[in-house]
Amino acid sequence: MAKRIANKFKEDNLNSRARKQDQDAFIKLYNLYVDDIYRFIYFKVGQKEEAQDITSSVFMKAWDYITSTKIKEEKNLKALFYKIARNSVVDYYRQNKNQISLEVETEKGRIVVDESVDVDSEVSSKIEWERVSVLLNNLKPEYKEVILLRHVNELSWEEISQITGKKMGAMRVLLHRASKALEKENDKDLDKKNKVDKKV
Amino acid sequence: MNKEIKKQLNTLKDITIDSSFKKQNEEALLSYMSSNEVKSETTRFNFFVLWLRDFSKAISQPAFSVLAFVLILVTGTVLIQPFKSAMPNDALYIARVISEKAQINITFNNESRSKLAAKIANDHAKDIATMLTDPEIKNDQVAVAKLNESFKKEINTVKENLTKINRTTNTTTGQEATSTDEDVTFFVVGTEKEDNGLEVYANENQNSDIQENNGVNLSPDAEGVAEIPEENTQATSTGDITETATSTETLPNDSDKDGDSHEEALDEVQNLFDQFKYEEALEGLNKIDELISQGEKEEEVRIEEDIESAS
Repeated sequence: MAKRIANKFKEDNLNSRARKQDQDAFIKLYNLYVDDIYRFIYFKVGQKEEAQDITSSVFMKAWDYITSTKIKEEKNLKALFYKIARNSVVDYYRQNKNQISLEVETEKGRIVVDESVDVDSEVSSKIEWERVSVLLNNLKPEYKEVILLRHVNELSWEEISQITGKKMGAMRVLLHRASKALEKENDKDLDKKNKVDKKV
Repeated sequence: MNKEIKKQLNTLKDITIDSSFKKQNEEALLSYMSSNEVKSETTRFNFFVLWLRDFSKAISQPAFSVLAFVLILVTGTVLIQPFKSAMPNDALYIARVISEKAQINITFNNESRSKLAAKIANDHAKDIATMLTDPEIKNDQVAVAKLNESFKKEINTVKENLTKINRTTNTTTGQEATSTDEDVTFFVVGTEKEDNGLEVYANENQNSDIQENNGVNLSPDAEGVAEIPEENTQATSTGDITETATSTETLPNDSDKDGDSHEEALDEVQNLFDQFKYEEALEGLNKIDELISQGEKEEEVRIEEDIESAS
């Protein structure tokens, strides 16, 4: 509990300093949020390189925004990063209308996780997340987004509401529907596997 | 949501950006920020203000308050232990004295406060006597002189507080006696036309008894006050009053005796101390300690009896 409070304090302090255009604090925030932002973008564009480029541009745009606009005290920078990421993904789709594949590149054998990590030890977890990634890709984009924000990136309802621009109650309802849809997809997938096993 | 799906969703957290790309991008970001350099608003003063504001925001959470309370409680009890047994030549003795003073100050009842002060002073005197039984300290004349002076002071404090206790006991018992007289109000409602009157006994401590008195002769001359036959006067609280009055009369004498015995014992201890008979003085102080704690026990018994009689 004490660690959680200390982390929250540290994060709030970095946010306050970064809002005041403190470069050091901004870099620390980058290190703190970059993985979450990258994951969020990656699930939206499905391509590793594109996700990396967009992630990189998100933080630069955020810095431009901070330096050009006087940000309100209560404004959460984490929500700002996500908001910019969302808009950047929309821009990316607009620019590459005809070329984009929405599938996450898991079945092509390309590994998206950190390449410096020992690959063998990651195999079992990769199999699991590849399966759930496929399930998520079968959902509506807004369902996928709310599941990612809440269950994977563990954002608060307030933050999700700030990012999406919708009310917290509406987001709760959306998550409930998204969870049901994901469960359905999971059942379908299991049935399919069982049928294949029986045939074999 | 299904637990299995939640578990699988958790595995998605393994998707992270390449560490090499992360590092490269950090450098690119730094150079981008320096190329578009702006004067940072975070001066040293601002930094402190921001830190304070965020800290107050963090500690305003209820979880933090509970944690802080538990922490204070635990550290308080742990820290008090070592200096509770500190002797006058220890570095922690000052901490012990401060904590004892604080303890006295937060005791609001005068009698309990005097008792606590007497007990603490007696403990100090005992510590001094114990120290002086040590041959090393006995040979140090400067230390002995200082300890002698402190001992006298402590003995005087014990005496003063014991006298205070006696004085407060006397005054409270006196008050009890007078208040019992005043507490009971006796009045009779009577009319000249009727022979039967209504007698009302009202005691502030007890529920008022309303009694119809058929056998009372109401004198027409008496203005609202009736002559009551002797057999009726025994009714309700008047009997109790006489009892209380007699018992309270004896109490001051007892406490006077206690006061004398305390003073005598303290004088004896002082004499023994002056004659360098520290071990015997220590025994005497132990007896005084017993007397003080005996007084506390008696008081507890008295309070219990009061509660029982009230119920």
